Amino acid sequence: MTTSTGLLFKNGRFWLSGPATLLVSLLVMLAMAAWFPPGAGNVNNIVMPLVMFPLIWAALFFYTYLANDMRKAWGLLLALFIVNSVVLAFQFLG
Amino acid sequence: MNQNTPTMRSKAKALLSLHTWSGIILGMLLYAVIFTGTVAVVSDEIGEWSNSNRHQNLVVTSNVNSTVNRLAAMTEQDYLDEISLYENHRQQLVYFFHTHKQNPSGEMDEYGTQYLVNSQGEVVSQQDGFGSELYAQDDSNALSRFLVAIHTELHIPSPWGLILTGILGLAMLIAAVSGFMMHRHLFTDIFAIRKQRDGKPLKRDSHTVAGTWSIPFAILLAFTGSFFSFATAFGLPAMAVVAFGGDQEAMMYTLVGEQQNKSEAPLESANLNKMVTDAAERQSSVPYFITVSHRGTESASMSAFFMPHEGKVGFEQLVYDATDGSFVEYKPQVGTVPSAGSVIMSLIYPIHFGTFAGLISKIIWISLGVAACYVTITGLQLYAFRNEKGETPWRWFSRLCIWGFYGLPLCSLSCAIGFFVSGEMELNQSAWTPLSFVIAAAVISAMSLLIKNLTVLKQVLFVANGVFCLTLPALRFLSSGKGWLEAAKQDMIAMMFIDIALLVCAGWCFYALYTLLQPGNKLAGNQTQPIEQQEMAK
Repeated sequence: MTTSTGLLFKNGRFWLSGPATLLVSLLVMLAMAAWFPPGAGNVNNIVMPLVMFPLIWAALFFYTYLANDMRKAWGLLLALFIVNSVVLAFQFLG
Repeated sequence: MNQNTPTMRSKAKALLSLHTWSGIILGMLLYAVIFTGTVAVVSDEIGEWSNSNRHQNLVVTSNVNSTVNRLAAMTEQDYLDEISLYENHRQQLVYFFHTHKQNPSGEMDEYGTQYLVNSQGEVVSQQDGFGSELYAQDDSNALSRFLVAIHTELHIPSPWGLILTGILGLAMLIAAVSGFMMHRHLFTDIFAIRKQRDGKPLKRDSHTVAGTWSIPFAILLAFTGSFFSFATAFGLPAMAVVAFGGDQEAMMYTLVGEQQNKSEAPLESANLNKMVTDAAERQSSVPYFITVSHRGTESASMSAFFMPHEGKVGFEQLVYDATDGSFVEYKPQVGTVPSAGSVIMSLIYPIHFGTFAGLISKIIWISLGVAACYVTITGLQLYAFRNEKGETPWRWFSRLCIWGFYGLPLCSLSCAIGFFVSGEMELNQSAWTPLSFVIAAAVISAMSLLIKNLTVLKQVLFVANGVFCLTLPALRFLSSGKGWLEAAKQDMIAMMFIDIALLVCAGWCFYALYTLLQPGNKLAGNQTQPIEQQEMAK
């Protein structure tokens, strides 16, 4: 059990599809509140990120889990992380 | 063989591994959430059944206006901000005069005086407190509330319970999507129980067939369920931080679609009865909930909430100007004007709980919920079978499966028995309902540890489930004196439905017991053999 747990934590795909995907999905959800058009009701930017979160997470999870090229998957997550962090930084500081 | 074949094979292997592990790690908890979710679909009906009652439409048949005037005169001025009003399961109208403030957990809550008023307009109970506390002490919905709370947060303190059920929703999403992606013959798998199969192969086929049928349903429920959990646990506060600079109150005003600062200049309000009657006529239905805000001021308004009806999927809210009683608008569920967000929000609840077409859609949702339970059970049993022959610890996994799969329904039935018995003894039903569940869980756990033979353990749990299912309609009848004849006369469909469902479940339990007792039964597989026999066979 200890060996298999150790192997799991040494597995790059575990970190990619697990914590990294979750972190990026949360960040995308938060940033969506800033860039998604609020619409006439002024609520779309609150509702849509919440609704989209499980879908965004699932899409990223399956992509990163099944990707043959893990570097490409890491690259996508990194790009999403940077873009959404910049959006949030502008929202709070700009 | 082309170049892609090994890649495809490794992906299929990866998907199978993902499907298996997502099921194994969270399977038992997922089963608990799916099972209680299946029960939660009929929570309203369980509420009516547990009180042997049906709604009397008191909101439209009683003089709400004079009661509100009378109660307002005896209520503290601070609590007149907002009045909510609905009919409970005991033919009483619940009037809650309240304001809004933070509760001891730091969450915004309603605080004020709650009155229970019977059909003759007499106050039968009066209590001060936070809305969440008063709701948790309401004996009339103690049973349905307890069962729903297991489904939504597994009775784990907030927000951790919601986060856990959200994670379980995501695990269900993984299991369902990976199950879908693994299928090479999706349509043939729908009818793929092969002849002359028994034991583990039959179980594998059954798992595939039930899983294939319930894939779209599982994906839909997993998605909507994880939305509910995550949005409540951290999504909404997080949105408030980003979009409203942390001002949760401002966000709630935007979502509810109300102005934050309203005129409090005194002005006499219009007759509530007229507005409620008008709303009921417009919808050809009775509102299940009424709120009156800023009564007796220039900003007075009334909202009437309706369940989906006449082919409509979402809930409806009608708003009235309570200063002159005029109809203002059909308000979207969120925001002030119709939007994509409000449409989605109004669809998510009916889709998750199957409330969009009355009892028919609920029956379909229950059937699919039972199929999803079956998929979880057979999935875990398959894994237990695969491993238990080789390693002794896996026998404990089989035992755990029996404990969970047959124990949870028994605990749920026990808490219903606790509800009725405590009601008869005039004890606190809100306390005894969960306590009965815990007592049953302790007894079942002890039995699961003490009874060495898994077949006997399974048989005992089947018998207990069957007997409890038979006992409950009898207990309900004894506690209320309302039989089926009277129920049919009074159109008490929900009560009869739950009674019949319990009798069907009892029949199924005894049939399953009968098949278990048959020598060489096909459904049981090698799990039903006593451990000693398995040892001898080795």
